[in-house]
Amino acid sequence: MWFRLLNVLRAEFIGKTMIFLAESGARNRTPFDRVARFILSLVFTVPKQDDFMADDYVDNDAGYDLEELRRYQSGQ
Amino acid sequence: MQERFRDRKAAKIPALAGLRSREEGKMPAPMPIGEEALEFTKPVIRDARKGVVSKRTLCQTCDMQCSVVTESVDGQVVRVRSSDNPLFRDHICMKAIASPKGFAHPDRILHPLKRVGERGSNKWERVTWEEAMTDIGARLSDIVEKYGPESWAVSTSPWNTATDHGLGRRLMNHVGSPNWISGVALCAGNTAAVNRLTYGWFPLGDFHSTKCIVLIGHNPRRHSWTMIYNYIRLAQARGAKLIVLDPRKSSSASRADIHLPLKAGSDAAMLFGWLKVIIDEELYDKKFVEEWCEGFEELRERVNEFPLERVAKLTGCDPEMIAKAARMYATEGPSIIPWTPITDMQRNSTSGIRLQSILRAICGYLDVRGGDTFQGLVSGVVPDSVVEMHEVLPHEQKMKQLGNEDHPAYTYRGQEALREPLKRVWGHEYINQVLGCYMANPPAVFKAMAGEGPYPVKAFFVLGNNPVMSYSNMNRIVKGMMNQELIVVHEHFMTPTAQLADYILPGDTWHERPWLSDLFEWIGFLRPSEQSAEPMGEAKSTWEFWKLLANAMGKPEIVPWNDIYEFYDYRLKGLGKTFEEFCETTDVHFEPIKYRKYEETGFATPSGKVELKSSILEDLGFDPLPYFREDPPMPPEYPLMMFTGVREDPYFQTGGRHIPEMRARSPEPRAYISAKTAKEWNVEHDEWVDVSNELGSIRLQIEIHDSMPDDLLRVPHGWWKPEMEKGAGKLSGALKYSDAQLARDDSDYLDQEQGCPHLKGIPCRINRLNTKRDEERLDEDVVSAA
Repeated sequence: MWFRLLNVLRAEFIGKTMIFLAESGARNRTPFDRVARFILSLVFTVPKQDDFMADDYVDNDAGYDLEELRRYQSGQ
Repeated sequence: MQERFRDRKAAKIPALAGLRSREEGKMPAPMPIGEEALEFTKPVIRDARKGVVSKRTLCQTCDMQCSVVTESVDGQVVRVRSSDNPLFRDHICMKAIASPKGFAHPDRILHPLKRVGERGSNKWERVTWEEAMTDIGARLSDIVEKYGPESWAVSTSPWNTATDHGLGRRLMNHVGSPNWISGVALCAGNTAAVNRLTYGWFPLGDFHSTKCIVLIGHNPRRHSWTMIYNYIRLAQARGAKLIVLDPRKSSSASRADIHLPLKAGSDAAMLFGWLKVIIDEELYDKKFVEEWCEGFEELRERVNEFPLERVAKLTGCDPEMIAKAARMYATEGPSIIPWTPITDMQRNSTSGIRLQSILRAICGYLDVRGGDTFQGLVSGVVPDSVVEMHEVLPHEQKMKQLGNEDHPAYTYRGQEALREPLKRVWGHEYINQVLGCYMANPPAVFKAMAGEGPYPVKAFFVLGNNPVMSYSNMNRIVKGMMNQELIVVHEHFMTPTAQLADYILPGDTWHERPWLSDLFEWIGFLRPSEQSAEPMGEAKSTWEFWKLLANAMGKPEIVPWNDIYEFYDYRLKGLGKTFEEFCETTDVHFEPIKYRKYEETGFATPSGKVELKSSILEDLGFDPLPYFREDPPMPPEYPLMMFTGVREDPYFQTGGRHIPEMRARSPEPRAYISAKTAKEWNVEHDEWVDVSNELGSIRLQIEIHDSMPDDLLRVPHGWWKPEMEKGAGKLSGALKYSDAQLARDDSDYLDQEQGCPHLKGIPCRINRLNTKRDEERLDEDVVSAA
């Protein structure tokens, strides 16, 4: 019973901490806000090797430059 | 350090662990079939950058139809990115991203061309659409008058042409020709037709809720069948099992719970083994079998002919592993066996597909949550099948459909007995699921084109596909095309097929047209695709082509709508929306699926039940139960097995080799082989060789690949080089590289019921290039390709 109660309290603490960090990170004004953002990014960022949808070709795509595309189209 | 921190935290803090990775299934991407997806049906629109116009579209580069967003500047699409709707997020691959460059290629055909020299001489003159269509209409009418309407054949790929929407079949049905063919004859379309022989419909796997997925030879990847790949990975992330049957250690096989490395082409034997275990150990759904299945005892007798020792010998797999996989499928469910193109292309294709159907049925996985579900028609929307108007084609013309006597499964004759059941269950007599249920048999059509059929075919229309390289026995196809009086090709580029045409008409692209898709009456959801740009040059849609042809043949009443928007308004009338309103308000339209619909209507089979013993096949004169035809003896001069029909990530079928970024990723046709087999054949990595069999010889570059088992060669599909010499005798390298030259169409290498070619296990040999002349020629090719 004590163990369960401890778990509940721990979950509550984690939840409150995350909300606090999210609020602070979203504000992004003070150095502490930036630390909060960093912590959040550590927690939430999926490492590339674990992310089955990550792909450089897709992730780095910024589209084509119109002028370049038109030069290509005209055979230049 | 970052990773260590996260792992440590995640291990200690369960609340954070779930947020760690998409692998753990936290991404909100349900399939749009259940109630949980209803909140995602409306468009999600991100603010566009200044000067950029965004449109929500469906990529039509391959058959997946991923929802994407195009971004245009000054009327030209410059970027294709993933959808903003969480439901479709990340369904994008390199082919879509490269499409702006592919469609802006300087060699794209932008004006109608008319042949001026001999057929295949590659001499053309530019004409207007009006001149072209007037001449085409008159010449086609003359051919129909002279040889009969059945002398007109059409080959098309609606995956690419998209806006066909059954108009081609509609015009053919009114003119009187049953001879429509497509690559779906050996890829999904035939699966649909054969599935219907057992339970009257072609089901779709519920990836979102399934607990076990069986991939038979199929290997969806990040850049090939992307949507299915994502669904499988998400299912695995939430704990679903994966069983892979594949001779190769493919990327799917490498992360499977069970990998059965079966011999190429032995799918049906393997599934007999599964049934043997499931029936012997009574792992099937007895109540469902008792209430809803016919022919179980006959099936049991047939299955008893396949003890595991025999199956192990036929498939080359360990009997214990076969049994383990069968138990996993039957007990970890609900399970799905998603459609696979691999079983579609085998000597025992009909039996293999039927065995998959039987497994789904007897294990109780039909039309249940997490199983293989019955979807397809969207209520309130006029389906393509109704547009096709099969009822106007006279019965005697239907019975002239080429191939229907020897290989009737997907012809009008083979599907005739389903008319009443389809009407009873689904409300229409003719439902052309995945466009594959009322086709002529392609090899029979090419024989008739070559003058070897029961009657001549003299006019051949090709829309958005490359038939010279897309079916078996390429040399006969070329012979048939050279024997035509009229060939019309609607295309983007000067393909090997287009090079043999009388007219080449410029086709639009998926950037340049609106579209409405229900994935050809297979899935139960409807999606709109907005037009992103005006067609380049004089390009026109397939829809416009058929309308112009109907007009040119003096039959304007067959296509009564003024334009495609009016046509879509007609189709959507039951939803109370115009197409424009539908686009504005909807990303995807569906009604949450109802399960076990058969309890109200029965199955759409003649008996109303699941026919484990097919009454239709029996009436057509075939074995009503599945069976297994073993390989004919290996000819001593061709002691190596090969399989072909394999796609590479940067390309879709024979298309895409003109796009520099894609070509750079896969510049040459490469044959995969194991190190041991390479040593036995005395060939090295990167060495160019000829691969040959009784039909012909093609040139490939050897790649020693870890995924390959011994004694098997993997031959890539659809290789030609657009930059190489055009015209008959060369066909831009198709005569040198195309795997279709090795694909046989003799009876030992055709499935009996469908007549589809056996591409998974063809005897061949490797010939090293020993003569100086060959090497010199190779150097020339490599230079020209570069």
